Amino acid sequence: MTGQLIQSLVDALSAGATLGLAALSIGLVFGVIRLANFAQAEIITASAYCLIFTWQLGWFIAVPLSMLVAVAMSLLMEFAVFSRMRSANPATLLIASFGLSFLLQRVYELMFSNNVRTAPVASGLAQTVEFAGVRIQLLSVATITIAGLLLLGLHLFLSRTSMGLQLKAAAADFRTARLVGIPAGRVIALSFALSGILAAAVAFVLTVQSGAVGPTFGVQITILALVGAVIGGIDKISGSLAGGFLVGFVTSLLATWLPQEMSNFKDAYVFVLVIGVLLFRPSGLLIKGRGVART
Amino acid sequence: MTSLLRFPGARLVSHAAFVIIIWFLVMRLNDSVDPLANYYIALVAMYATAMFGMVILVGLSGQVSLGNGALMAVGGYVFAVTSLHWQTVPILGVPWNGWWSMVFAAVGGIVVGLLIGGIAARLRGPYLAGLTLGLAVGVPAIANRFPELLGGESGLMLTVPYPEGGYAPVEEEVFVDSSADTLSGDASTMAVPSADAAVSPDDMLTMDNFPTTDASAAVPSVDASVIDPGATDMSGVDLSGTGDLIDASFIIERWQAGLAITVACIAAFIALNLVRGRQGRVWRAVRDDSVAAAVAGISPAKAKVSAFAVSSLFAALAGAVFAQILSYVGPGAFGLGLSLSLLVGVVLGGRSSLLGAVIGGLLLVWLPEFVLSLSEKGGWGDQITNNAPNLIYGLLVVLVVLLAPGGIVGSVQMLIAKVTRRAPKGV
Repeated sequence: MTGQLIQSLVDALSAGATLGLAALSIGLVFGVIRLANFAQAEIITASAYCLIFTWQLGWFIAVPLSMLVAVAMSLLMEFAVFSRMRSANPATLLIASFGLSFLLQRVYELMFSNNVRTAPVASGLAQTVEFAGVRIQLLSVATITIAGLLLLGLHLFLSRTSMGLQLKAAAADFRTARLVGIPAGRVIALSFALSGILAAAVAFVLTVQSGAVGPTFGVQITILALVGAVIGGIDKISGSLAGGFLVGFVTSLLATWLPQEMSNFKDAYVFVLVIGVLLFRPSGLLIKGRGVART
Repeated sequence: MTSLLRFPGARLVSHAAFVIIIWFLVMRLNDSVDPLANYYIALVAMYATAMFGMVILVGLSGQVSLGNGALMAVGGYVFAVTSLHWQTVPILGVPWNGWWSMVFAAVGGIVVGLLIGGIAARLRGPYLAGLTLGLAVGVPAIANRFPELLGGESGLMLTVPYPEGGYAPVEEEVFVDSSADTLSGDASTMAVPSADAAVSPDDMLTMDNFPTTDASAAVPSVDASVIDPGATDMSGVDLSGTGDLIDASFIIERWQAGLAITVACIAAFIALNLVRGRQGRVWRAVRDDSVAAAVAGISPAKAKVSAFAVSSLFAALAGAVFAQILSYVGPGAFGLGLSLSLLVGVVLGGRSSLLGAVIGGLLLVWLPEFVLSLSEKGGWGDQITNNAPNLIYGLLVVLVVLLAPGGIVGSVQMLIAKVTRRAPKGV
């Protein structure tokens, strides 16, 4: 019994870590240019396709290449679309990112067909290990480790380097940051690049989990990540991370603990969670203050 | 125009006259075209109804909603459940008919709109988007929680209350012999675009059910001909009272389109009066500067909640019409794809004008068909043919947002303003 408990907790931690990373990748960009990027899904999908297609060349090629693809896609989106609409309001930016998302989904379908592509990506991680009577998926451990290392690296980058501090300042208050001379274009590009790296990590975990990638591979996690970021408080980088983690953790626990007939509508629980949180904390869990604020 | 008519209620009368003329003209058009065109007209009118609400919510009150498809689901499910289970109107005791179900759907829409709007009014920007996204994903999933009442994943088939004959509730699962020949130009022949896409719960999150023409693909495990109401009376299956009430000259698509047009015109009348009256100014004032509006004595919270309620009312009406067009309600038919297509339509058409909603509806229905016919003529191959409509949508949205943020109507207004050197109106 305790074994099962620990097992489901580890799984929930790993699900939370994945969704937390995805939410963080959205929150990083949002903090700087107020864009809740729905097309983050297509960055994840592109990176996952890259992993599938290049895995046979060896992980030391596939993994860096998939990161490169994600970063490149992310920067490309910024330069091709979002940099041309700096003065647009957040709603317009969001709609643009939807359009981009449909567009790219269909481009993927044209390029790689609607059928899923499969490859045994890091199949070694799919096995379970027995540790002191507890059966744990290796992938869960790997996910938690990857997320931990990435977060540590990001934290060090944001607090120890000049570029990172500039980004942090811009995310906290973009206008003031520009006033004190932080180069806007470079900081924005940096946020997109970092967001791409996080998306690549998410893509890696998801690809190992499923082993199959289709044109709408990244959509579901991105929707949940957006909802998660909002629950936690998308105005703060830590808020997005915490919210994403919470949604992943809770839905994973619900999926294992609830009986089968109750768990096949867990999407409805996500909705209840959003309503419940936003009812009492209209700016997310981590952000105190008034609900109706400047738009 | 209105300056000629200066008496109390003049605007009400002129709006009514305008809507009645439009209704008359469109009904004439509807009677003179073939069933396939009737079906398209029904879809356009249904989309327009829902997008009047989007114009009010997104364009006028400035609240971006990604969840109006879920509000349509509320209307559709209320319609389906009440028409399946209630034989008489509670309290009044009069026999039930389709219009009562519409009324209940409308009331359900308003109630849900007030509840969601009450929460949404406190939220801004991304938080509102997150809430409505949760709405779009979560509400259709509620149907899975109550499989007996709401039919679960496979949804509910319903008998549409056609005018001739009584209103007989039918058992939920009517499996019609799939070999039954269907009428020409029915829904099953139109389901070509991506009917091959197998619908799984995950697909609710994708754009696979984006154009409504393949809404029939959203019915898992049921043959497409079942959705077509025309198939029902051809099958020879006894439907306890509905068997022989439809005579041969009765064209179901035409009747559906007439219903959709009528509902759209009623919605247009309500919307016109709200948008061009005091309430419209209140919404615009709050959208442009809620602090200044509050200083002027307007309650921003009330304005936002009322916009949500009205939008939800229109969505629910559209949902009830949609249920009757499909003779079916199910989580797949009201998924995120529907919510997003409403947003896409309103952005393309022009988000601050009711005309934009109608144009958006036309685009949503006509564009995929146009692109499909183009690609069939050009022999582009299945791969491109299946993807072209959504590809064009995506491209159009990005281009419109980048180059013409006002949509089609907004751009034309800007153009007229440039030519006549006046300020653009109605923004």
